[in-house]
Amino acid sequence: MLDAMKIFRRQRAALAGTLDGLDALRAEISAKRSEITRTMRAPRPVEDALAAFDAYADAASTLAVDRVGVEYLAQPGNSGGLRLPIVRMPGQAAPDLTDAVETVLGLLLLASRDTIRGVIEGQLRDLAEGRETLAQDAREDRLATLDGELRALEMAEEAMVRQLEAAGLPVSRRPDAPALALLASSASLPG
Amino acid sequence: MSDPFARYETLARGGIPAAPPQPPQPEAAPRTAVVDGIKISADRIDALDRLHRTARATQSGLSERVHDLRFQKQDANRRMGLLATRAAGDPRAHADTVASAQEIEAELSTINAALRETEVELAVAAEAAGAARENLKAAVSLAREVGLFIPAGLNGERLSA
Repeated sequence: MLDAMKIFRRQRAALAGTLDGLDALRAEISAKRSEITRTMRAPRPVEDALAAFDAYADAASTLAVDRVGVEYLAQPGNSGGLRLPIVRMPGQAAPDLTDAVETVLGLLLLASRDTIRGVIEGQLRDLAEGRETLAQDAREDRLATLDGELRALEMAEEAMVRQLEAAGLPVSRRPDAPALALLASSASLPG
Repeated sequence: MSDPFARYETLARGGIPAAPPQPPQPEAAPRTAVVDGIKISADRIDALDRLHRTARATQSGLSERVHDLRFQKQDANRRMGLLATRAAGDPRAHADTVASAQEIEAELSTINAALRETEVELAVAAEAAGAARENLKAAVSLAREVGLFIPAGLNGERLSA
């Protein structure tokens, strides 16, 4: 009788240990998913952001100069005014000013780009302070590594669930268990 | 190229023409495939379907049990009401009434305890059945995507029901 009780206690401890192991694995999967989300949302380096701003400022300035109608100034008798692209289509209550505002912004960038760039750079450096920044290549590499690690964990989880099922123990899968792990043949799962 | 009128010639000579050519049959979907270096098997869909059915049956059984217990509770409450009405109409039956009321109260207490327990079990079973259903849906969806064999009966209608 005492032996039977001892065996029962040992088996119960083993079952509790296995279920704890499964819980720990699931916590690890959750942490890995959070890490993937953090990596996806990590800001890019300030230099990259500034390079993107420079490219935008170049394009906006060029477009603005193209849009103000400099060629009209050369016409005889022209009053000398620049023209903003303000068009009011028939049926419109008010003209669409989007192009005009973009043109003014482009001219503003043309006139005082260094000042604006300096302010933007300061803001970006404040935002990035104390946070890890990731360039596109590094982000892609990190995400590929994390995805691989996540898949390995999910496969290990599925292997553990199947072993528990085979032992007749009550265990259920997560509703968001990956389909690839669910369909994986037993030989493809870690032993 | 064979002569298309050859079969009529055979008929005209009293012979039996050859069977017409069979239309091309679609290839049977494979039972295994490799996705991202991992071998997947259609047998797993069967296994997940079994789990889904078991979980659903458990849920259904517990749901019936809850229904049954609620009916028993209603019945006990009704008997208690009748007893109270009878006691009000006939004060001489006091001793019998107290004993019967105590009996029904004990019964109600047992039913309430069983009801609470079964409702908790039902909530757990419903969660498990939901998870099993989501798992099966995900597996069938991937199988459909990669062209893996899907067992008959596991169509969208049944899974979305």
